[in-house]
Amino acid sequence: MPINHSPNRRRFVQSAGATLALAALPLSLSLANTPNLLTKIIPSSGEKIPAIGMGSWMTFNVGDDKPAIVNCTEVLKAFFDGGGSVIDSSPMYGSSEAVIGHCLQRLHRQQKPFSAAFSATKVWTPFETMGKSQIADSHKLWGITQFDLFQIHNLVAWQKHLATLQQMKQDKKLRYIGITTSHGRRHEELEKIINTQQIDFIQLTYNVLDTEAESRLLPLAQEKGIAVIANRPFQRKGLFQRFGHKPLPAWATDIGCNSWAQYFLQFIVSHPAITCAIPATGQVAHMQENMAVLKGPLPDAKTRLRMQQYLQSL
Amino acid sequence: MIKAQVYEQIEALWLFLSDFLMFEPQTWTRLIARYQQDWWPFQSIALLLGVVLLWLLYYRPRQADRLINAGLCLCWLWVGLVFHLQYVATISWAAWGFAGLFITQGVLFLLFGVLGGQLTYLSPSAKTRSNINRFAIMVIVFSLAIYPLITAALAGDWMQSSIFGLSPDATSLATMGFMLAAKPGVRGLWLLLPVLWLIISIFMGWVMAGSY
Repeated sequence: MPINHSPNRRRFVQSAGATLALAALPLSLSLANTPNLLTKIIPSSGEKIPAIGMGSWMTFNVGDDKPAIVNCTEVLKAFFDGGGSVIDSSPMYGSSEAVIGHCLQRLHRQQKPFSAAFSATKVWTPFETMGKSQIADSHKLWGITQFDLFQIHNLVAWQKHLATLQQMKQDKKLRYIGITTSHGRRHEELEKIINTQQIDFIQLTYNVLDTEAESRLLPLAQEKGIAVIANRPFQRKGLFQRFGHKPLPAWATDIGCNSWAQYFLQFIVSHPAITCAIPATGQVAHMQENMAVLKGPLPDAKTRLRMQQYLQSL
Repeated sequence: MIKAQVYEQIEALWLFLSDFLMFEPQTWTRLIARYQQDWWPFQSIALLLGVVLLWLLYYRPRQADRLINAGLCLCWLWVGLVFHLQYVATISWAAWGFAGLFITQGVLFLLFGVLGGQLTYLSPSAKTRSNINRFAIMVIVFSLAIYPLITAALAGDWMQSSIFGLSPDATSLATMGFMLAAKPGVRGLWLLLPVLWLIISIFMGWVMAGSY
């Protein structure tokens, strides 16, 4: 399904409808059997997923820019080649969902090994009816009939959407339900939801500097058996702007860490409560760098502390 | 100490604003280049229109006021309907709001300037000219001739020129010039949306520059 002239979501949805035949293709095969790949368990099912996923905020929002869409396809291919699976998006991310759907179908045609995609998107609207229509649109945009994970974006109208998602899960139209926050906001409300509702995933901001979730939310998620997706793993580009020009510690190579991206990601996914980190990039080389974390060792608790201390010393 | 606190506040403001930027700066640059390419050679026509509007303002032939307002109406509607809705809306939800802003200004020009004849201008060549009128001419000339050169030079690419009638910044700047030349009274209200857009644009530029 080429994106030739689709400047808006509605038009894209219409054209995407014609390609739904592709939806019959399996998107949710587990990578659990891939050897030497860092996977984490989704507590509610026992399913394993790779600990590094892919975010799409900004990077896949390229509109109908054809060369940029081709580049996104290459990035996605590098993601799958590196053993990636979890792709996270949202209707809030402009054209990202449409572009992901396009890239997935393009890779299908090239018969590239992307059958392991774990599709994760969100519902983002204050209105229940609009939420249902948005959910339907997301299916068309991605070109799939069943999402692995549907999340309620930033807790927006979560009571209304949770009922919809629970019904979808019951009807086998969805495998997992999640709720997201970002920037460390609304953690108290998220905590209440974790304590009172049946959800499989939470998504929150967690990185080497934003560690607020460690105090309550991460232990609570572990206790309740909820998987955790860490967003903003690099504080968007903030961590690179702050530390990127400084040297890595000499001992970084001992933990298989060759770049700042790997340093930041290793810190995140080595937390026992974190299931997956979702860095976003628009560059193949950066994607390869990110995915290398799946093949390396993880720092232990002592090394994690050392990683933080090193950053404080800079 | 105070300097450090100021820097910290500026950084916090940048980080706050950067969360509203939902596309990479490169995506924006490519979009502008594509827009310029798609509508070539409209740039020359738009620039010519700007020169004609300036001539109308200076020499005041009959119906000059209505013609100036019609020209400005056309430019604001174009930027709203074509630039924002057809291009920017493919990568940003905010484009719908920006388009609304430009379409509103265009419709106001049509209703009160063209049909109502309530927006009239002082000729900078008339005896009544004041410093503000002279300044108005300078702003218009700057937006038509200098600003496109500056934006192209800053980006290092002609395709990034901000051109009157096609680009929101140059259109807003030129409109500010024309409004400064308008008869006092309601001119402040007519300046509202152009100034608002320029503030938005300055913040967008600042955030994008910091994102590279």
